[in-house]
Amino acid sequence: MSAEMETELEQSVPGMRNDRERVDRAMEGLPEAALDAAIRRGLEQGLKRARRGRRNRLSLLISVSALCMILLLTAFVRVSPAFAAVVRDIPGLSGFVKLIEGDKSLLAALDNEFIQPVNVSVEKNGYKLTVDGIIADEGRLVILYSVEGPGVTDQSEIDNYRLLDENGMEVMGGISSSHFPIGDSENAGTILHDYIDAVMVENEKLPQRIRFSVKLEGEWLEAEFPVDHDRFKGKREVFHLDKPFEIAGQRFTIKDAVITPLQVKLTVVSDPANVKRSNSFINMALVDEKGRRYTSKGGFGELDAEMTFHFQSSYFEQPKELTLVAEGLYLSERYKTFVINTETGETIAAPDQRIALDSIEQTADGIDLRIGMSNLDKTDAMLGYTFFEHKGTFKDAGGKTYPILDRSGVQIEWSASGATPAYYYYRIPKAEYKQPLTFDVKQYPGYVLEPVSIKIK
Amino acid sequence: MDRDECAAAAIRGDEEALLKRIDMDKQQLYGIAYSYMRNETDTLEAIQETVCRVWTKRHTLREPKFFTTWMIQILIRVCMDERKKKIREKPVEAYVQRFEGETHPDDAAVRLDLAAQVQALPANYRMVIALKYYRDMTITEIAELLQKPDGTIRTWLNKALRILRSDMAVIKEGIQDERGNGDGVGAERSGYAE
Repeated sequence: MSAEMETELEQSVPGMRNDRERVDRAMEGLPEAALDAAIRRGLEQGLKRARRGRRNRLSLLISVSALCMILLLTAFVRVSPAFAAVVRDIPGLSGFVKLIEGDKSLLAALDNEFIQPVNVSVEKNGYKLTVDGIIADEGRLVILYSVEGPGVTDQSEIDNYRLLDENGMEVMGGISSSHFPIGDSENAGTILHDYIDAVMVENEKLPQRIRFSVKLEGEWLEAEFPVDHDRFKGKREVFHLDKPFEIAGQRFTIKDAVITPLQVKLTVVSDPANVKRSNSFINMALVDEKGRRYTSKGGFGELDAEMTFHFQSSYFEQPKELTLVAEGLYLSERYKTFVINTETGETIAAPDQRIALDSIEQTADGIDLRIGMSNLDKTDAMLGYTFFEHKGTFKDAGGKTYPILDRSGVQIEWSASGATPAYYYYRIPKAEYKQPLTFDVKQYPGYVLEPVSIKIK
Repeated sequence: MDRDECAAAAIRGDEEALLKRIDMDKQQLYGIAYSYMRNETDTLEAIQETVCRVWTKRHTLREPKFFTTWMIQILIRVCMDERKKKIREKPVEAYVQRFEGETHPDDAAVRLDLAAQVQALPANYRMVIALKYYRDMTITEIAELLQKPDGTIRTWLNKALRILRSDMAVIKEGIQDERGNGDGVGAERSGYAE
């Protein structure tokens, strides 16, 4: 449109000039005192809001970070062909060795007889659950168990499991099971060996007693056993570091490192002034003077604030030196939104063109959204992203806020190679929405390759 | 401390520096918010919320020299959100009521109608009108503050003006009707025609 037409349009709106003068007059008497008071109140409100924000983050930490850990775990698990033949020969353990051979810490622990035999069995309706042994230190508990019963083979799947402490409270930690069917079903054995790996949340003590239940073929079986804390008491090395470093223009500080028999914990704090959101480090590991690598399975917290990474343990190897290495940083822009129309299935805005609403399904509990991330490269695909804040909210076009419903954590489906798209599942309530819907995005794929190497020990 | 030093200290978390830095821009903040809100209470409320967000989001500002632009961007978002909130809380009639309460006898009718019409515009149109015609900003300046291309701002502005023009035409007819019927309200609005 030309300038003349604009002027013409302006002139065609009667009263604009008059109204403008009215506004100018009204503003001549600037209410200075009231304005200063409003500015001060704003700052006070900001101080309060910042404090509240921190508290919220702490309470969310457990669920979000547990998720983060499990994702990395599965992505990083490789069943390596090399494992200690010696360990295979320890009576009663052979069934487990293949399961844990991908985990250096556990193999080293077995090698050093850092295992607590338990041998507790319970039987119910012909099914038998045996806890054979546990491997535990102050922050991690691995339960080696087996199940027998009608129809059970080593190819069976455990439906569900539960870990409670002596008071019947759920154990606070990232709990995972990595059951890989290890043989073909024709020659299937009649005993199912599996293990549960619980990594305790920061500052959460390992319980004295554990009540462990598994659900199999519709049956819950519960075994209770003690954890001998004397076995790992004092077995820790602590390094206070406060070492700053920088990747891709983002600043971080390594606070400390704690080495225990089953893991190395390394706490990294992000500079609050970092422009982008840091999501994780790429291929992070600890390397010792002999070139042995201790990889990370993820950790607790949010790297964008403070995160404690967990590595395979070097405890039994006793290396003279340890260096933290990473190939780069996963990072995303802040304040991005994902805008979709759930009636037409259209994606209106996304932080990255590889991300789009894939499908919508109406269920009894709400509307299930499947969001696809396609064309991810291998590095992108290695990490699970907190695309929307866990238990977060979104807004419809009328400005009304709705919750993102909890589906016992967030479900993600992806291939580590990135060959197929990753799918993120979210559930929203059924409501009369004014389209489109706007979601705040937290993390999404993106990274910078920039190697770092920082001496820890 | 000069403007940028003050802003840098504010970003680092110095509360006094933040107050000092905001003080340098407070007139401009008030002007923009008032042009959009059109009453003191809502204007002060918007500024309060803006300062709150400035504090909580201060880490996200990279360059201290962009403090003013950044803060005004936040203010604009607050103002535009504010309207959404109000619409949920009150029916549209409430606006007219409130403006009637403040009317002056001279050109009250014109002001009432135009201000009410501007208020009824979608938030983005209303903001563009406020910045362009009540704050004398250029298209480029507005584009920077709303973080949109110039072309988009131009389109919004033209659409806004068209809506205002057609609405005014409708209102004009309505008033003439009322006048014809000897309606008291119509008589009060006799100063309407320019």
